[in-house]
Amino acid sequence: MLSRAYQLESSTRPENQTETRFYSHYYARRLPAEVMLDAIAQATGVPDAFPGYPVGLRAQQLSDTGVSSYFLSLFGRSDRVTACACERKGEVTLPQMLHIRNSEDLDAKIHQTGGRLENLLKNPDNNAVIDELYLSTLSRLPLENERQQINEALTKEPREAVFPDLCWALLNSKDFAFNH
Amino acid sequence: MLTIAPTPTQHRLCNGVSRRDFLRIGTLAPLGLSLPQLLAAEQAARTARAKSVLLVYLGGGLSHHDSFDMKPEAVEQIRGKYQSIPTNVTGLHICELLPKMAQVMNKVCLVRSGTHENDHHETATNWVLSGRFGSAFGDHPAMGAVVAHETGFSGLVPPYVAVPKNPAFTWELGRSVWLGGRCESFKAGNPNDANYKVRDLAQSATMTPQVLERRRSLLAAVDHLSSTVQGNDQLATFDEFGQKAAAMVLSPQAQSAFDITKESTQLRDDYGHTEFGQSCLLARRLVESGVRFVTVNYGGWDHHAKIFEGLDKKLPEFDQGFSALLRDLDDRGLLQETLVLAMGEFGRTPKVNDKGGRDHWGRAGSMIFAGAGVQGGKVLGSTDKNGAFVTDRPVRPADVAWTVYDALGIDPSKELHTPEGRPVSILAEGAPVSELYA
Repeated sequence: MLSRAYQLESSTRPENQTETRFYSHYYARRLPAEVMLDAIAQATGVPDAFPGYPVGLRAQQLSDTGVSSYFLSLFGRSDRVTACACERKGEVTLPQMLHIRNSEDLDAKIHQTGGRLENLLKNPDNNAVIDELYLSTLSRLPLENERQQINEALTKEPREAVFPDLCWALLNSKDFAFNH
Repeated sequence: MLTIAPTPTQHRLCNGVSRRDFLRIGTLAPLGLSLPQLLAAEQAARTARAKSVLLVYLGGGLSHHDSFDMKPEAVEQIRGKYQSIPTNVTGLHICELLPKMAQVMNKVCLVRSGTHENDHHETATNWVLSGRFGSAFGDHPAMGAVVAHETGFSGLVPPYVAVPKNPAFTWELGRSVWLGGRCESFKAGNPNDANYKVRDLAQSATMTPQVLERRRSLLAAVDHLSSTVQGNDQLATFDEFGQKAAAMVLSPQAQSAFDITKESTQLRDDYGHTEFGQSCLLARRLVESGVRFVTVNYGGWDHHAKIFEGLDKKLPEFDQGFSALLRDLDDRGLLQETLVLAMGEFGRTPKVNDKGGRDHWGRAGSMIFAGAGVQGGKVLGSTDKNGAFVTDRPVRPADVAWTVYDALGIDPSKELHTPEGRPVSILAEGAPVSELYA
């Protein structure tokens, strides 16, 4: 850990920003299928129910790859039928984007009774709700210009309409979907 | 004086430029015309015969003895139990369970000489779907993925669609491999399902324009990672397909492409109410909507035991769906601009085994080409008296793939680059099956 290699900076610099092959800086990578599904469950406060397993068990804890889950198949879990590392797919495909942009599953989780958003909305302080949504989805606080734009939306439309869509937007962001 | 596109009579090098052209280039250099410019001009002059390719994939391996290459003179153990019937092409006989195909054989070129040296489902499937030999897990992008890479989207319909999904025996085949998620096939699902719709494509009733606009502006406000983190194609794909997905949900063109309920009851009946029949019908809609490469995945031909019981059920299904597809494409004038191809990964062994089945046989198999200038009513190639080995005009997987690329105006000798930067030509060998057209 004290070697020179470990001391090197991983952030992108102007001179290496177009480089995509030699790991001169960190490349953002899409979350693996199980991690992403668990992250959505944690962010929305709505655990997935896998057939045959107790509710609350994380996708990463599944011992069986045969468990039926459209999400896990879509985002490229390994089927463990071959010894090829290519079985786990980290690629971004069109059906994945349709799923996170337009699926009823995600909307149901956002609006779930007893879910995170419903509880957060009990707090009348909009800025506190924004902070909590950011921390639970992106593990950071909003930037000043982000907060400003969200507050602007809140002045135009009721918070009950804006916050679910903010939640959707955060879960649809690259900040959320990628390790970066 | 200057010929940019080589004429067919000249001998062409693999990149489509004749030796004479190279000599001419030498003399043109002082005039400022470089080789890349000339090659670009040549590429532009490459004429596409087809707008789209429609592949009916007979996964498992159709028995040629019991369908399109019958051997009535052979001993019973080889000829099987079916009789042959005449078709609307003089002298051409096919299996009695294909009476509807018998009436459209004038629209197709039957190739009886498909051949290669592999008898393993996955390995052979990867070979015939890509035109390149590799491992069972798929080392080379399938034709559809290459087509997607070379043509991109036409409007808002994906370039490469699999109906209902990609071929698979245990793991998924027909994949884009190193071309990445951007070129992966879009899976349409089973159009024979009662309430068929493509998952996540339809807009839900709660998504009013107001909600959509609010979501769009909030997403724009919070989503700016790609402006700070760079150097990865996944991020770009996420942005690009995110926008495509949002647009597809709102696009009448994209919605309509998959809306099989817009077809008349009569036509749906003609294709047959089976997964295969309705898949063919959906494939026609997709081609019509601008999809460049459609795979109709129709497995279940791996009859190692009781082959005649199996084929008694399968052949009529194929007969109805595929003949209806050819007629329908022709009626709409789409056959002229669509290359239709039906094949499996191999044929089956000549001898019926002790379980009453036939086993894998890469050495010989039949396939069907139609449309996009393919001459109908023709038979190309042949097998020996037992249907075991090709005796005339062998057609290898690379030749099939070459023909497909050539029909779409894609240069099969073009070099693509893997993510590691390795240059790989689309095909390593092969030649177009030019007899299809003349």
